Amino acid sequence: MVLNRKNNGAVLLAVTWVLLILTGIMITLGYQAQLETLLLTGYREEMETRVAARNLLQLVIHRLQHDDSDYDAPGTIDFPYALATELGYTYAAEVELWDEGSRFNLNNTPAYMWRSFFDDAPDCYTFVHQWFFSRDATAYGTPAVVRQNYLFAVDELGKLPGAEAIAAYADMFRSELTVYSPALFYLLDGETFLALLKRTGEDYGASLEMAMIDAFNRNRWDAMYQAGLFELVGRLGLPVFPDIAKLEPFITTEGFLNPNFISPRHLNAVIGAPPVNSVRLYELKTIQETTPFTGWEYFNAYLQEVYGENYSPFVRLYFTFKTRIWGVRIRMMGATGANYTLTAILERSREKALTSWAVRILSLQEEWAAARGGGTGVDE
Amino acid sequence: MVSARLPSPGWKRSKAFSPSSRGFTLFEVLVAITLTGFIMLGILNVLQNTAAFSRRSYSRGDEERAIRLLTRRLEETLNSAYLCPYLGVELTLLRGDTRGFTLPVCREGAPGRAGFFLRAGGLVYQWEGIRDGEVTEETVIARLPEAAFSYLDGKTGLWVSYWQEDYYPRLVRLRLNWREAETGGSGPLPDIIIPVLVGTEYGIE
Repeated sequence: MVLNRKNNGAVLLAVTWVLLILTGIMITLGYQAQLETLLLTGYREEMETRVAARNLLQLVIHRLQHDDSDYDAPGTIDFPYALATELGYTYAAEVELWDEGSRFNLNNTPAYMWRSFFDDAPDCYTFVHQWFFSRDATAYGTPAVVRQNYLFAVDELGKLPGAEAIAAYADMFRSELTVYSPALFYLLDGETFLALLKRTGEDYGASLEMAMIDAFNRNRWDAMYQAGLFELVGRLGLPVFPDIAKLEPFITTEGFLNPNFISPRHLNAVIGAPPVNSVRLYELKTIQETTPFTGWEYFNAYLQEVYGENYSPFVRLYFTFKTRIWGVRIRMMGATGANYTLTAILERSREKALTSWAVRILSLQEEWAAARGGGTGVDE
Repeated sequence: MVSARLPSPGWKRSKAFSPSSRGFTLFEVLVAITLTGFIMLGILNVLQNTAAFSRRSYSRGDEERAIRLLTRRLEETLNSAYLCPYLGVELTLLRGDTRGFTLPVCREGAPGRAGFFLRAGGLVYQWEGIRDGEVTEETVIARLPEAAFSYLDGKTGLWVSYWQEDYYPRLVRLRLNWREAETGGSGPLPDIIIPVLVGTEYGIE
């Protein structure tokens, strides 16, 4: 082989440089492609997970619409996982259903029920009462005769001015409160009824307000039977007859509390009497899960066991065994470990549907529980 | 030995005139030039195509990323639309026109009005707390083509450019008029259409 000693490194150097430049170009292109792929993969997974969760929500709605059982209880609404599998979902999914309407609604219940509900946390009662009845939307303002404030969401309770004082109770009550339930006519008092009227846009003078409250409280026992709102309000002898069409969305005369989902604290508030057998009261959750109440007789026997004879005969008007407001939580575990949670509140009624239940979506909340890789790639 | 075979300058000259290395004929040179020209043309063509493809794909990629971001941000807000029929407080639902919209949203327990507005060639997200009245703004995208919002009325089935009903529209659409140069000449990108699931009723007969 013939070599030129003067040039024997030049070709090698040139080739090395060319290879280096080519390698640099390849690495840059490869990195860009990898980045783009990562972004797209993350976004695709996010979209697939969201779509899968929404599809599962549609299955839940379908299941609730075509539910012909006699009663609802924890575990009776079995989600059709087999159907989800048939549809080809590869994600691990969990579907949880609960009765949102059987939770305690501070917006629509009289203050005397709050005292009973917060029996073991009097600080909470004081805080809630002061905030609801404060004219200047602070926790320690001048109390008004009629409540002035409303909660838009349960979590808002922990964000109100001065809420640090009740922070210790937050976890205790969080799962027992709601804002998604109508007012039950039979549980109202004059103040709550007037507050609801004011929410329809009615505005009365101070003396008329007092007369309305007084008339309601005086005559309410004449209106404790199953009937339409128009008839029941007519029995109250109010100085001004309200616009019932405006009131109807907020007040119902159909009981909606389900004995199979109600909490002991809420049951105490509804019955309005201290339990004579508190052990049996706190066995309620076990009963609901293992031997749910299938009819009024069984539940009435339980009430007698817990409260003796100390409860009103009108209690039956408060309850139903078919849940009206459902809470649904769908948890999706994505392939790359991203957890997606969809929480929805669904209202189910027979009023608008003839052959099946009508279902309306009242609320949707989406939450990604784990950090994601990828996503949109812009301003994550 | 290699050193013994190294030619002297005289050897090189004599070698050049030897019959075995007489150089190229005119025909050979012409063929070589023609072939080189073809190869160069091919390479040039490939380079041009690669450059155009690269420019097109990056340009399209930017637009697609922008669409992904817009879709996600709009979905996030429209999906958490607030509706509580039992509250009864005068709570204005979605209000919108072609330049943007606002709607009530309750996020992590804080109620407020969230909205998107097309402003100064970009898209701005706005949040106004209901309790504290505090307004915050954030630019989602600083540069957008000509765009317009519209709303599908579930009752009439019509797209409208102005919304002030006491119920939510079924769909919200953001139409982006990308110019051909912005999409790399690869055709128009689709509209962004987001459903508003809150308030949807099933099984009404």
